[in-house]
Amino acid sequence: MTAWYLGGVRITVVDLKEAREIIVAKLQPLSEGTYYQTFGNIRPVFTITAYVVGTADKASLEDMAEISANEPYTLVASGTEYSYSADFYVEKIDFQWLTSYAQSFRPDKPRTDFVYKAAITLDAIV
Amino acid sequence: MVDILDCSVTSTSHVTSITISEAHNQPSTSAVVNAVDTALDMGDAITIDCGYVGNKPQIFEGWVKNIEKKVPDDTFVITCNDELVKAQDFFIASTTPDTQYTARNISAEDLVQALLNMAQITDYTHDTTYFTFGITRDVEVNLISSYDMCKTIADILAYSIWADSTGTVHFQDRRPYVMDDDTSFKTVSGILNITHRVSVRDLRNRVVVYGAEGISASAEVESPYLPAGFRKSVVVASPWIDSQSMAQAACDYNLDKLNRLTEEISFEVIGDPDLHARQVITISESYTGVSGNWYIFTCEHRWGQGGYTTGMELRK
Repeated sequence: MTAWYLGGVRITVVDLKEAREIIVAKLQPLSEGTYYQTFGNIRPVFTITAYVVGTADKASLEDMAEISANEPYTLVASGTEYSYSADFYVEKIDFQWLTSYAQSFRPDKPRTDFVYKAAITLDAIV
Repeated sequence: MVDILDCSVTSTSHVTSITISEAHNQPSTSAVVNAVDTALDMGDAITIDCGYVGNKPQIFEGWVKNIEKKVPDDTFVITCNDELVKAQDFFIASTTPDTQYTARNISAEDLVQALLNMAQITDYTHDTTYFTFGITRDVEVNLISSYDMCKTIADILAYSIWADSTGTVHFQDRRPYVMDDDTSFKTVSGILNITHRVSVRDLRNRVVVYGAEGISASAEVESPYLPAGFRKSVVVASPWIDSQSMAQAACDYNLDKLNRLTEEISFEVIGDPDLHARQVITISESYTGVSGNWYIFTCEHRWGQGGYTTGMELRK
């Protein structure tokens, strides 16, 4: 499985969604067709589902979502920065602890480490 | 039709909204800019180009008066006023009571120019007023702002004073309605909503002028919109009116300006950066039956994520 790193923290990505949106105002005159006015693009939003192994990695990811951090992080897949060289703000992370008797996602870590399923929302800086 | 909104603001980037408000009866045009980043500081000159890609004319020129930084969204709110704000801010106070500004036999337009120059306003254009101050005694100016003094002179003559979108100050016979020699700037379409009303709110059919010691005048006329014999009065009082003929002229000018029904339209159109207060425009709208030439009494440009619209109050 491809090795992913968010801000240097190893995660095992199982799902990734990209969302893009243009800001469009629709104005309706009394006696003409609708006017569309585009204001710009909302920066892409990435939603990732990933497995995280160990409380230390979990804590590192939680720190990225602290407002005091207020800094962007890279998302790297197999040694290559993912998605048009963009960095990301970590907008939100939800962790779900999973029952496991012996984790095998990370052979470099003890098999008894906790495993979490994380839902991570990233705002791309473009 | 799809238009891409565009703007540029001096030393400011990532602008999220712009609101520019101008009105016939407002001392100066104001602009409020919301942006993510700015290098502007108090007293800096600012120009705002606003509209669409391919049609983004300069819509405002003025000075930064206030900057707020908002947290946590980390944005700036920049408030600005046009060139005439310098006249509002400049309070005329002589170093000693004996050295105040005086003038003799000076035309109204030259007196206004001198007052504007005190406030470092030099880009100035005017009509010829044929109105002279300081005929029998000196005009003495002290302990009043440059703008208030200019406005007093404008009120005596039923004139208007304002700064346009390029910073030029005008002192002209500009009444708050369509005048006989006005021509339409353009026909406006893309009307989003409209309200039409008629009122006697601003009607005055009696004008009283108090001048220097012993000088006063009045003028009145019957109004078909008020009960017979009823008068709504307004007073113009100024020590600079120093002759009976000047007092009577001030009465007649103001009665002509104020003795009229106020017919107004409030409406909003698709944003048009070429529209400004004090222009005359033509509208033809089948829903309320409103048509013809109208004077733009107030004009507000609202540009942002909700789109670009221009709201106006028009007067006949």
